[in-house]
Amino acid sequence: MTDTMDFAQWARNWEAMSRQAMSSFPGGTTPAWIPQDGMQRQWNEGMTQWARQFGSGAPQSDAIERVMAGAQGYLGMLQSMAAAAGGHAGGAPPSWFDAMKGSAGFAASTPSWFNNPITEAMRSFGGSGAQGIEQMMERFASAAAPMFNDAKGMLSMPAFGHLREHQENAQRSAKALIEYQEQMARYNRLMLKVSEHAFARFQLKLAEREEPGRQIDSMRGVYDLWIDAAEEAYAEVALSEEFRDVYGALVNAQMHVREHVQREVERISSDLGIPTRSEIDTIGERLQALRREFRDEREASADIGALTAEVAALREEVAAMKSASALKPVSNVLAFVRPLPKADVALASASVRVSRKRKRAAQAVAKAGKLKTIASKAKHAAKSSPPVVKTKPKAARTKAPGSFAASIARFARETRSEPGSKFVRAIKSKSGKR
Amino acid sequence: MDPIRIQPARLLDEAMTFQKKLVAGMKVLREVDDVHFGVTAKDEIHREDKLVVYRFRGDRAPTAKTPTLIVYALVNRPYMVDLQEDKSLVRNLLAQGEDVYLIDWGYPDRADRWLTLDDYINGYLRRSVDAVARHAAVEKINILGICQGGAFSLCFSSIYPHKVRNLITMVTPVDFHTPDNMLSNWTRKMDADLFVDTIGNVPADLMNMCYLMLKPMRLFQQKYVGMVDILDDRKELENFLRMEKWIFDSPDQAGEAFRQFMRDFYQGNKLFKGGLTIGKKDVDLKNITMPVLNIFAEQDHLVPPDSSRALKGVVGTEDYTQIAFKGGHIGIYVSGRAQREVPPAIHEWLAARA
Repeated sequence: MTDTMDFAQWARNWEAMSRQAMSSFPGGTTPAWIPQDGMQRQWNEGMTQWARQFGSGAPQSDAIERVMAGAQGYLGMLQSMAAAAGGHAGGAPPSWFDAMKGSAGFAASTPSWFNNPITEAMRSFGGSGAQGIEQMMERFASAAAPMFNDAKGMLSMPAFGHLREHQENAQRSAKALIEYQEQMARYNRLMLKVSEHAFARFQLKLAEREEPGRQIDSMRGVYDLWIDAAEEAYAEVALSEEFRDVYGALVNAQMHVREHVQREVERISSDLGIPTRSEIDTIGERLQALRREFRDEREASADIGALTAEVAALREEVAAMKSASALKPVSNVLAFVRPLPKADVALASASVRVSRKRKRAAQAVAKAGKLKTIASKAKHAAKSSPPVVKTKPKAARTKAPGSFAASIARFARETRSEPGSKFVRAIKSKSGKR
Repeated sequence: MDPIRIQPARLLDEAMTFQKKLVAGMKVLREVDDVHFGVTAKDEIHREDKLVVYRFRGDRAPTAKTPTLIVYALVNRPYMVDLQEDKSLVRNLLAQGEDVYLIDWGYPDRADRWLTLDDYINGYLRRSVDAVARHAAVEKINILGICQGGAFSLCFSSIYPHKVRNLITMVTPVDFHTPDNMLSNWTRKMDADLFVDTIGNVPADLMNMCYLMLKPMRLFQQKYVGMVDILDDRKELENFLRMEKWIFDSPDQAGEAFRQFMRDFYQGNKLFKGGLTIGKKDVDLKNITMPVLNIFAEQDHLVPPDSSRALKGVVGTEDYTQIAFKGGHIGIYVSGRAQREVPPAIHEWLAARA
């Protein structure tokens, strides 16, 4: 076959080869679905038949389903391209882009198709391309808004009577459903915008390929380029703040609907005496809290056990050190942890008391010295001036300073050399003299 | 000049080839066995509720003195790191002499509805680390955290730095508010409390749909058009089916853990900005003073590179290394290039800090 072959002849050749390929089916008979009237039958019917060969029980059936989903779109585009080529036999080059855009497979490759049967239905009676669809959706939304608002208004009316609680629940559920539909419509309009952007990007990418050496020479190349364009357009919208708002609102609205439905189911279940999801969740939550608490306490007990063992080990170590230090000199610092004999304890106590008394004695001597000075000044003053009645220091009334200081000094000497018992006798003797 | 220059012969050839592949696929798909995963032998060393900690057995005994515990994400199954013979991070690490352990979180069900991040990090993960340390008779271990598991490992290492010798993070999100983070953008206006209170555990199917919608055209369609090209190659087909199994074999997410992860990580970005608490423990990445190796993928659409790179500015260690891998979020584990580059890089880094 050469480039100058008539495309119609090419199409006939293609059909013949298809028949030959399909004759490899088990039994050697051509299945009935092989088109007898040329290439008018959609190739996706062929895919459907191919998939049916595997049944639904084989482990590979999931893979087959996904091949179907992807390959049907690709085959549809392939068919349209071939049809465009055949339609322009001998004339101007076919408009590949228009052929692609009008194909069922192309529609299946656009983001708005996913999970969106409404827009797909609108596309089918809106004509090819998405240019008018988005505007139609916008017009539909604005036309439907008053209707939705009226419905919401009705649903906001207060309820009366013994069933008012149930009625209000039903009203809230209905309002949640309307809200969900509104948010879904917003989302769908955004997806249509993606499709528009995808077409525009694809045209730009095709324009870039007009340079010599960059032209696309295979169907797969065209398909991959289209996927690139569609993904870029989708990413641009999916990363936008508008999408963030729309998507968040859609999910929240969906959850509200689900929440209301679940609540109704629980109410009915409760009336019928059937355990509800909420009740089981409550039990689960409490159980998990108990498990945490138990685990924490068990770990704390393990920690206490470890600490107890450590303390016991330390006690043994201290005891070992004490017994080891009992054989060492007193100057050894460890001697301070050795219990002293009682006599030594008494001696030590007395030594402490003696040192305190010495300190007080020294203070008394200093005080006596001062009194002596005061007394001598007073005596001198008495000689040189009329007698003046004065209040004298207490110590001077009872005893002359000199003898007291001498007593104190003697006391200090005695206590320095005498043990505690003599010190006591000295104090008593001094008290008796007074 | 027309950008499309498809010769009829070429178009016919493409169509015929496509058809031949489909016909051949009818035969091969009937013959291919159910795919298996996890090629490396392993022993269970610790079990708690649905969690199991495994130690992998290589062809020879490990030479590394410090064991390495792989902490995977909750959102997928961890056998991705040991998917098949020629695509196994575990196998390659064992071949380098590393002593490799792994946490298998299991499949949460409704009984796990009330597991919190405190239960996972201060509970399961802490006890698993202690179990590995006991098993290996060491004081500290190495941790290799992957994706969400890397975020958990960062939290753990900041709370218990005395338990971690070296920390490796792979494709780990740290800054959840980078402009190119699509998942984060989608969660910002979601009411996390309403979502979890209503739905309870987050179904795996919902999580999978969310991931697929990050690149819907490629992942719903183009991938399967490409699959037709390998329908006549049994080995390639089995590899493809094995990946498919892993992608869609996802666990449900425990409700409370998901709530906090969405609220504090995705919406609040507290791991990066600060203010994150796990139970009663504060998380401060400045407490991470052990050596850190941060590996990320340059074409990662799930965890953008900038999200991982942000770790450099917030971690407390002075021994920080980062490696940018040319590939995607999954390719960093399963591509041929990854098998050649990543395990040796990890081993060399660990060996220098043994």
